[in-house]
Amino acid sequence: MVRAQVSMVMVLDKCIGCHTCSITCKHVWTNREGMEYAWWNNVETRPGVGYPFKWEDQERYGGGWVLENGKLRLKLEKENHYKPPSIEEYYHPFTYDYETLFTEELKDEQPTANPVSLLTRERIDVKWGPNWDDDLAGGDVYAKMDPNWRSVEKEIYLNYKGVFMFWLPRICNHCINPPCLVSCPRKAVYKREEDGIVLIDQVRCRGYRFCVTACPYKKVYYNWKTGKSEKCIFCYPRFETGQAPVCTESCVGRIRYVGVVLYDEERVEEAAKAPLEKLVQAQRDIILDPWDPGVARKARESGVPENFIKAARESPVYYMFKKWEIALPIHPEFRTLPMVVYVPPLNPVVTTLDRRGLYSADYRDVLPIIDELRIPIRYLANMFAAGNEEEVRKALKKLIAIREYFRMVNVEGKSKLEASRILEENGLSREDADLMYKWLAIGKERWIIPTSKKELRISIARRG
Amino acid sequence: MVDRAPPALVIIVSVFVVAGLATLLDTPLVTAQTPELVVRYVNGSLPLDPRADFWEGLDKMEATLGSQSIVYPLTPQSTATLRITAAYNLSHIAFYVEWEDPSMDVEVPGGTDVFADAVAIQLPVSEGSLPYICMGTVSDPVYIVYWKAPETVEALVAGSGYGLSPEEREALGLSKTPKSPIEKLPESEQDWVASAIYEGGMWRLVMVRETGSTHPLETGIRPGGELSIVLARWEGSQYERGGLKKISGWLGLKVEEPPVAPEAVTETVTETVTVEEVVERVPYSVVFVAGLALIVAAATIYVMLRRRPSSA
Repeated sequence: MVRAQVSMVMVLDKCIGCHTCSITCKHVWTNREGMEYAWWNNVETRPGVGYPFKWEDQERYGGGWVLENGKLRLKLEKENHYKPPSIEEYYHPFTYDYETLFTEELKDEQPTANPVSLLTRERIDVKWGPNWDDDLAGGDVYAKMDPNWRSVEKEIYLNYKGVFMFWLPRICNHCINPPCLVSCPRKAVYKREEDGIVLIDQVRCRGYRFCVTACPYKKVYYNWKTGKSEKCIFCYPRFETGQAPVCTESCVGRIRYVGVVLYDEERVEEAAKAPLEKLVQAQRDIILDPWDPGVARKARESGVPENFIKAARESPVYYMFKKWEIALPIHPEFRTLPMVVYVPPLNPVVTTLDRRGLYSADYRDVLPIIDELRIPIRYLANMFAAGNEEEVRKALKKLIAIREYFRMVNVEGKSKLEASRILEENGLSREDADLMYKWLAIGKERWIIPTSKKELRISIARRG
Repeated sequence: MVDRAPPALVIIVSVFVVAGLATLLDTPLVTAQTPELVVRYVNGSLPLDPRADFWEGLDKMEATLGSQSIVYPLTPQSTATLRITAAYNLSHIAFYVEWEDPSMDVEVPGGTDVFADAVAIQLPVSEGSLPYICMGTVSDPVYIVYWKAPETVEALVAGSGYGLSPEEREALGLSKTPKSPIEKLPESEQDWVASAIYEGGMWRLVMVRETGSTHPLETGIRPGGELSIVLARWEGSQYERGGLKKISGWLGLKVEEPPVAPEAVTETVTETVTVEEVVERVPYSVVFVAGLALIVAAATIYVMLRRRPSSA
C-alpha cells in the first residue's frame, strides 16, 4: 500500500538561532497552564545537551526502538524503563516579577524584575533552561556532555581555535514508525491515514505518559493541568487549508521546507530493522518516485488523492531527501523513520583567500579536505546517520558542488555547460542546480501543500 | 431438521432446569471463592473518616496483589498488600482500605514524572457472574471504583463498551461511540465519596456509595448476597499507572443479612429506575416459574414434532 506522508526539511546552514519558530508555536499552541514548560518547537545550540537535558541519551530516557533477535522492541518495555523526564530535566518554567518595575519605591538603584516560578509563583534561582547553552554561553560545561561526541576527540573542538557551533531546531518528527503510538495502551496516539501526521486523541488519553518515555526525541509533553499528553500537531488545521505550519511560515532564515512524500507501507518494518550503517538508505528506499506511473497508480488504488500525488511530485522534501540525498534523518538509530530531515551544516561555507587577495572556494582544494571542515564529519554522522560518515560526506559534497557551480557561472564567468561538470561528478544536473538555487538560495516555494481531499469537496451553489 | 431439533431443545431445557434449581436453592451461578470477608450490616451511619474507631473494630481481609502480567506494559513480578473491610447500612455501603506505603505520592503542578498512588475495586456488573479478571468482557462487564490520591474518585465501567449500539450507549449516558474499553459512567452515577489520610507511612481510605443500583452498568449491593471483588493498587513512587499495577485474584465477600430484613434497600431507588433495572429486579421466583413454563412449552413442541410424520 502506498501512503502519503507530510514531512519537513530543515537546512541547518540557514538557521540563525532567532527562536521565532519556537515563539510563534508557543503563542499559537502551548501558551496555557499545564504546558508552560513545553516547547513543541525548540531550538538547541550544538554542541550541547538540548532540551530536555541530554534527550539523546536513551540509557537515561528509554526512548525509541531496539532490535533484538531480529525483532523490533520498544526500549522502555525491554528495559522496564517507564519513567518520563522530570520537570527539572525539561526546566522549571519561569517568568519575571515585572510588577516590581512599576511598584518599587524610588531608590538610587533601578528596580529589578526577579525570576518567578510559573508553577509556584515563588521567586526561584534559575539554573537551567530549554536553551541554556545558547551561543555556546555554557559551552565549557554543557558542550562536553553532548552525546554526539562518540568517537570524536572532543577536546580539539572545544578549544578556542577549533570550536564550532550550529543550531538545531526540533519539532515532532511525525515518524513513519512512531514508538509513541505503539507504546500507548489506550490507543490514544494515532497516525492520520491521509497525511501521516501523528496526533493524540485527548478523549482517549489518560495521561499514562508511556508515549512521553517512548519518544526518543522527547517531543510528547504531559499537560499536568489536563492530565493528558500533547504534542506538535504539524499545525494540521493550517496544513489542511494549504498553509504551512506556523514555525515554517514565521521562519526568518527560511530554513524550513514542507512537502508530501509517498512511501511503501509494506516495507516500513524492513527499513526500521536495517543494519545501523544502512538505516538512512533504507529509509530513502521506501520513499517512492511520484513520477513513476506504477507508483502513481498504486497510490490512487490506495486512496491517495490526486492533489497529494501532484504535491509529491513538486515536494522539496522528496528532492532533498530522496533524489539529491542532501537531507538526513535525525538519529535514525532510534529506528523511528523520522520524517523531519536535516540538511547538515557546512559551517562555515568554505572559502579560501586566493593569490589575488580575493576570497574564493576552489572546489578541487576543498573536496579532499572535507574531513577537515570545522564541524567534524563524525559528529554529524552520529547525529544524522547512525554513524555512517559516508552519508554525511555525500550530502556535504553536493552542497559544496552546487556552490562551486554557481560561483563558476556567476563569479568566474564560465558557461553553465562548462561548470556543469562539477554537478555531474556529484550526480546532479543543471535542472537540479536551478531547483536547488530556487529553494536553498532564494527560498521560493518552500512549501507545497495539498489541501485536504480537495477533489472530494461537495459542490455547493454560490450566493448570487 | 426435525431430527436435529431435540438436542438444541434439550440444551435450552437443561439450562433452564439448572438455572431454576440454582434459583430455588438460592445458589449463585458463579462465585469467586469461599467468602473471606463479611460485609457487616450497621444500624446507623457509616463514618467517612478513616481514623474513626469504627474501622478499627471491623475484621479485615488481607489481600496479596501481584504485578499485572497479561498485557503490555509489563514489569518484573513483585507483590503488594492491601487490607480491606466493608460495611453497609440501609442506604449506603462503605469500603475501607489500608496499606503501608513509604511515600505519599500525589500529583503536583509541573509533576511530569509524578504519578499518584491509587487503588481500585472491581466488581461484576451482574451479581453471580465472575467476568474476565482483566476488566471484563462485552458480555460480562465489570464496574470499577477508582481512587487516586489524594481525593479523586471515579465510577468506571469496563468491557461493555463495544457490545452496545450507539443508541444503547446514548441511553446509558455514554458517548455514542466508545473511546476506550474502560469508560467513566455518566456524571449522575459518580456517586462515590472518598476520604483518605496518609499518616505514619500508611494510607487509609474510605469510599462510600449508595447500595442501590441506579444504572444498568452499576453493581447493586443486596443484603444477604455475595460480592466478588478484585483489588488493584498503583504505587506512584514506582511510576505505576495504567497497566503497570498490582492486582489480586477474585475475592469473595458475603453481605451480612440485617437482623430484620431492610425492605427499604430496594426502595431507595424510585424515579430513576430504568426499564433494564426493572427487568433485573424481577423476583427470582418469577424467573423460575417462567423457566418452568418454557420447559413445558419446549417439551410440548418436541412431542408434537416427534408425532408429525416425516415429509421425507
